[in-house]
Amino acid sequence: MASKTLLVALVLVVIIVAGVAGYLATRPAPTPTETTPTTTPTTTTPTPTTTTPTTTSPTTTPTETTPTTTTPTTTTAPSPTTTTTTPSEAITLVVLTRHPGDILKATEDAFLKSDIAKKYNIVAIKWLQLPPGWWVTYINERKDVDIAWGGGPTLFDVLYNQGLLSPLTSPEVLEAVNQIPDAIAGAPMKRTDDKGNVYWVAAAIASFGFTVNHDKLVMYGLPVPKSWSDLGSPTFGKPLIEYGAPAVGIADPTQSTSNTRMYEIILQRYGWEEGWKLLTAMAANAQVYSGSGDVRDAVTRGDIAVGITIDFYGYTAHLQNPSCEYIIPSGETIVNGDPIALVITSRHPEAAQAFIAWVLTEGQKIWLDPDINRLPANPNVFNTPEGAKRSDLKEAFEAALTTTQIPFNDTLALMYESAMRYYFKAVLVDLNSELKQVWKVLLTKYLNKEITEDQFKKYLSEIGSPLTYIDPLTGKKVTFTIEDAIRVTSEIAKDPKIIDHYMLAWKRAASERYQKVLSELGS
Amino acid sequence: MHLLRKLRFYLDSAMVVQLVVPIVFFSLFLIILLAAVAIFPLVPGISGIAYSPLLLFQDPSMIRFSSTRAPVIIRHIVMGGENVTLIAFFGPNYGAIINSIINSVVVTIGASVFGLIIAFIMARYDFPGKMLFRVLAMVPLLLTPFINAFVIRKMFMYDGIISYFIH
Repeated sequence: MASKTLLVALVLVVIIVAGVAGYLATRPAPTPTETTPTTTPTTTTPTPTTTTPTTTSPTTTPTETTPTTTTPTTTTAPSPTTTTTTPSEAITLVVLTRHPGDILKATEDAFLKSDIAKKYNIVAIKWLQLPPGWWVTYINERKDVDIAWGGGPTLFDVLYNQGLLSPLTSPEVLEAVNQIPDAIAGAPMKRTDDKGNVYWVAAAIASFGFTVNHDKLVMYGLPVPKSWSDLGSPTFGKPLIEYGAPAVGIADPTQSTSNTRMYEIILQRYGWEEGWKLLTAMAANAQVYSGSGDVRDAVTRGDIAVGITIDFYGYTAHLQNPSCEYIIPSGETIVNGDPIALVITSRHPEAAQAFIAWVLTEGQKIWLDPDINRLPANPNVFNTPEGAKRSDLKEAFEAALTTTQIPFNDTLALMYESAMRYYFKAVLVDLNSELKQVWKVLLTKYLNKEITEDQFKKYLSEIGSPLTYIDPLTGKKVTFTIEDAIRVTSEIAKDPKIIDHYMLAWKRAASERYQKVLSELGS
Repeated sequence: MHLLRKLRFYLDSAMVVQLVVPIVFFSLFLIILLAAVAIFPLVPGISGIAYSPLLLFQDPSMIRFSSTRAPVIIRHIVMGGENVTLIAFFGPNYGAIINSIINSVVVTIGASVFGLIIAFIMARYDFPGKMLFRVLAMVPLLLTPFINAFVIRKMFMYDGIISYFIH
């Protein structure tokens, strides 16, 4: 009898806890802000800040020190500053960042030992690593963030437009800023307002392309790819047919911001319709990995012959496996500056600006570490002894300077980014197996010359062009044009729960299409 | 009160601790999670459309009735100038849910058969190194708490459910 009442009591406790949990779970959660710019598009298009054409040779950057061998210096000459003496209380800088732990550790170790840190009595750095959607919320709620570092120009433009950044004013930091070119390959390295105040500066640069494994290319008998369209070509689909193994590697855009960027580049370079056809062909030729690091590792190991990666992953792969090489698809990519900025809530603006000045000069050596491998923004770092050892990065830097960029519309990309990512995931990642099923039949017939090239293009168009699906909100048939993608992105921003419904609608429409083409081809 | 008196009669302090600690632990780290996962999607958002688990049956990447690929491919090809036989194992693809069911059934049957054989050997035979073998046979039992640790770590992250309540 007693054990029965005990059992009843236990069950009651469990039910009560579950009920409380259910109630609390259904309360609206504090949502992170989307990274869409809130001001009208006219003020956010990046404009070049100088009127004189920037020279691209590294030895003629506008500095005031001697032109030949300049080492990155920070001015220690006494200059009129707003603070009078060295602050007596020990300062801890709060830095909001997207950089990974190895960069942060190297920076902390090097900076806290430096003279600048001692001069401003900076004894510690507190790192806050957060995804971009949380930055605005945290800056507004913590009210003590000093510096924002790393995360891409789009995120920093959002902060700038929301008025969360302070202009850089101390002479030290302005001298460092002058060592950074105003633009590289047409991409802005600084954000200034119309009065000439600098709000953010690029501390490193990155481009997007692919990393190849030359040994694997030779083994598969493939040419070295030069453009994105090579990755979606039937040539690069041959290993899939012959060996059952994909030669290309891509990553899920919902798990990787760098891959999201690359797909946006392809969509803007090739146009919306042709871009989606190319992305479909690439996804069909490729093994889809869950992260961009996995793509790089697969290329290094030799599982695949080419993987789409951000540039510094390519340099790391090259160091780990010398037959790997990073290739920039010229005329089909963009160069991004990765910014650092002073946040308006900083409690120690002079110390914070000193840190920024250090990152832009002495701190550029951190990028040269063989485990980090990023391209610096300050060309003077290659004149230091550490810089001289990394001739591979110097060559890559010079290649980036001379790359032709595509005209890339950041604002437009942000307007359809959410819809693009979930559409890609639904149609090309979750249904990748079905896509390969029809792709293998199509490729085999094409390579055996059973169908002509025009027929091949027609079938590719049928499976690759933007879907016509039934919109879950209205029940009507719509096509996934750019305007529709923009509309869906704003719907998702209003109600994130609608994402699953859209993905289901896309998956059903895509699956129908794949099966229809499969039966047309007649397996 | 009748209930309370009976409880106080049967429980001593050690037993109370042994009861309360697991209840709290499992409530926090299992029941709350399951309740959140089950209930939260069913609450409609601003658009007024709620998610129903029945929708999973319409999702071709979750449940499908024809496999998208052959489980095994055997082919004779030329690789690196030599004639080789290529055997590739893919496994069938019936959608994520059915794949998981197939996976669990095969693994359960396989593990049970294997476990039965080991248990039979341990019960019937004596051989040098039997103690070591007995210890090694227990190792797979230690793996499952790692999954729990992974889930608890996720709960404490900036977007995890514990941080949500503390916020």
